Amino acid sequence: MIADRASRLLVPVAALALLVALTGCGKAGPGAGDGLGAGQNASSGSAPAASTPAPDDSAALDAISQDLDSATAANGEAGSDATDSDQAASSSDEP
Amino acid sequence: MFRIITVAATTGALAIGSLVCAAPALAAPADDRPTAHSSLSVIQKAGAAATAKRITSLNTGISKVNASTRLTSDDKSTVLGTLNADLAAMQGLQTKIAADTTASTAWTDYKSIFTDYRVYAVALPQSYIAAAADGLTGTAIPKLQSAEDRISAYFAAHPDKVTADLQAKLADMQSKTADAVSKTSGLAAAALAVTPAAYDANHAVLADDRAAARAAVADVKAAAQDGHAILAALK
Repeated sequence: MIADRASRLLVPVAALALLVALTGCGKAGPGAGDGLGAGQNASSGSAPAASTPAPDDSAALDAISQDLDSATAANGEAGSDATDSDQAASSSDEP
Repeated sequence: MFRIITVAATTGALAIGSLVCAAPALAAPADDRPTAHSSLSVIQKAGAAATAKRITSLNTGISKVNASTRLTSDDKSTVLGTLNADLAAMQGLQTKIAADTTASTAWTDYKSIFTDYRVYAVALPQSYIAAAADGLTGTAIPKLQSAEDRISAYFAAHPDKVTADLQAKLADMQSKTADAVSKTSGLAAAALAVTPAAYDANHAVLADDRAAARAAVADVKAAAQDGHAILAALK
């Protein structure tokens, strides 16, 4: 009798455990211990947290952005100088 | 009859000859550029216009160079030395040509506006080429290289985010930057070494330097676009 009740309880408990394992509920944190990369986590239930770069990532991406902005600004001035050079030469009335 | 033919032939030859002799005059530029045979007043008028035009352009150029934060201090010093010397020379010639009393002297002074200084053909273009080259080598290219290093480090730390397309974009960015480095290497010094005498010997003496500056700017622009595309994909 007791064994019969135990087997009846075991099925729902196992089903619940399987559900928890498949959905990732109850994990300590995003990606913790599951061996998945951030991109793979993005499709899981914790997507909002995983798709936002971590603080270190944000700093790295900001630094890249600042380098590119500086390069673009300096290149714009260089382009203006190159144009000035061409215009001076093309406006030359010198024999 | 023979006399008539002879006279007609002679008249025709003279007419053709006069046209041939007049051809240079017909082909002369439509502007007021004087010749060695122009009157003193014509040469003086042309000299006043040519020097005034150059004085204006030199003052503009000097202002730009003074405001430039991209030129190295050495190149800025060289450029300002040339432009200020040319400015003083143009002001001196402007005064001298106006005071000249013979067409011959005025013609000699007028020619020196061009052959001795080459403000438009050499001084101003070489200054702008140097400014462009220094801006690229001093700021734009190092910043691109820094961005490339940071992107490489980011890729290494996040291999899951690296796609073949992103790797190709980084490779293209690095290639374009390397091209810009090659094109700007020694460019400022080469441009600033060109003299009016070198231009007199070869009117295309600065053409390659101008083309190199333009091409390097295009390379840097393309590399930065690659970088921005990578960055957008990573965010």
